[in-house]
Amino acid sequence: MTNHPILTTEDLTYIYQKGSKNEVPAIQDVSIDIMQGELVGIIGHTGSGKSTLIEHFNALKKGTSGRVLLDGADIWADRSKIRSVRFHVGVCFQYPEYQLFEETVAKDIAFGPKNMGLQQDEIDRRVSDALSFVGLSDAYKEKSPFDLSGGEKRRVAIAGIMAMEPQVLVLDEPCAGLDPRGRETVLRMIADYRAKTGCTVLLVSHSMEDVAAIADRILVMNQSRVAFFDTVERVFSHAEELQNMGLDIPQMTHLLLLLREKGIDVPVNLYTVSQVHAMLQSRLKGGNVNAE
Amino acid sequence: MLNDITIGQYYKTDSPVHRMDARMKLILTVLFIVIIFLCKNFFSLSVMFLLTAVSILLSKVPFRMFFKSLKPIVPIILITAVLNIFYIKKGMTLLSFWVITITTGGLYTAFFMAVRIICLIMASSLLTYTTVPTLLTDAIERLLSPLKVFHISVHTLAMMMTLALRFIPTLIEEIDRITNAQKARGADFESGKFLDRVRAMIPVLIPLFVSAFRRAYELSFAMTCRCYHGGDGRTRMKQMKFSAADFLALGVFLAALAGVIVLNYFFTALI
Repeated sequence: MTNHPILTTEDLTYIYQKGSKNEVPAIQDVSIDIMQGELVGIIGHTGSGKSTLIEHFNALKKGTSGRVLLDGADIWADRSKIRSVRFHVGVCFQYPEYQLFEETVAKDIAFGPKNMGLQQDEIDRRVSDALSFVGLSDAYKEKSPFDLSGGEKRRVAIAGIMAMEPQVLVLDEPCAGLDPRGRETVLRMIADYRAKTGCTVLLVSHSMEDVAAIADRILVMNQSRVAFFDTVERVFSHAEELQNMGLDIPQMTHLLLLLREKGIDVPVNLYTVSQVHAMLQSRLKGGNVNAE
Repeated sequence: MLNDITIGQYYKTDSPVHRMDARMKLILTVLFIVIIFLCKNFFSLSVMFLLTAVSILLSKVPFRMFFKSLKPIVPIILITAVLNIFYIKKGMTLLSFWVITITTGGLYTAFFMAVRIICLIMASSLLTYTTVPTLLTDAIERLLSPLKVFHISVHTLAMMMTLALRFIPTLIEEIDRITNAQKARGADFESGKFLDRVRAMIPVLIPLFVSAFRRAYELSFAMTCRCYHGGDGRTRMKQMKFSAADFLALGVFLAALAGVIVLNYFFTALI
């Protein structure tokens, strides 16, 4: 992670049905800096504006006001370059398996790179790379995407975005509807991809637990505005406010909150079993949980 | 992209026309079409024009809605008017030039036809503006139920229509979603020649069909789980009942029919 912002929004606001009597603000005054190479989790309740926000990152929506900067340049400065913005900011929407359409997995993954106008050998390399990123063997290449299982389809669809080798990869609820093992696989796959490519990743989810496990920073959206944008620990130190927003906090954080209610002074910014275990053990060794 | 298409074009408000029984509205619309084709001169046509105007006023549907429904028909109205003007040679000659002769008879007929088509469109729009699509298919089902004698499954047809209507907004939403997803992969729907654009639709159409079939399967499972087995012995949640207003409307329409026949008899036929 560097200190160079790759994606910036300045006072970004988007209002549905602008000008009519039923105006609905989807996002309001969003100003954030996303650094090159970081993994940001975007969290919020249904209708908090997180999905609308990511549609601004690849210019599918244009803000009613405000700007989006990619690598310091306004993405709407030159309308003829909008398509190239989409190659730099790869967005994978919810339930991406429903967008598969080609006869073979390889052809479907190649759709994005082909649209970029790449040479065939470069396309082939990217298809193989993308398949290995999502943990599928080359044997899948010639299969029909419609014959795969749900989890495999999901991975093929994500590979289709990865094959464009975007600078910023945005995934909207990549774990939605998967079983616990599927979630685990997808999350590990995303973390690995980030580690290997050093690429910036935005992960939209409503599950704190999923995001906390792999994110560097968390952006919390609430009622179309940015509520928090900070490191995982610091965001979880606001556990009670998060609960008031209707967000589910990790079970360990919840446990610490309950301890605190009982009058035991513990920090609430821990969220994994091992962290909490270590903290409680050191307290108990000191003979007093209320120490410090 | 497709958000501005109004399906079923129901206009929500409360009016005597909205409250009428859907079956009666359907019967009256058919009756209206029959009567308007019986009209032979301007006197009988004006009766029907008046009837249309009064029904529209009673429905409380704003007039601009009817203009909107007329818009796609304007070319047809113009073409028939022009053809009538040039081909019908009756009455006084107004203009004679080269092969073109325009007569009073031609002008009258052109005007007559235009008014007739406009009334037709307005009346049928009135039906769809004031009746929810599901009620309409329900009404069709009940009115056609005597066809059971010929072993035609009217219920199945009506159910298919209802389901098709129900899924139009869902599929439009789906198209939007898939279009966005393919745009995110660099699909280009806006530029290129006509054939390129048609080809560009393939990545949207295939997933759309796949998901339509998936939805159809899911829906049929859901219906089977709730013991749906066709129309036999199926009772209804909403019973349709004719009210006094329905019969009053029927009376007015029958009176109009009588008036048209009488006026046709006493005045010379135009067409």
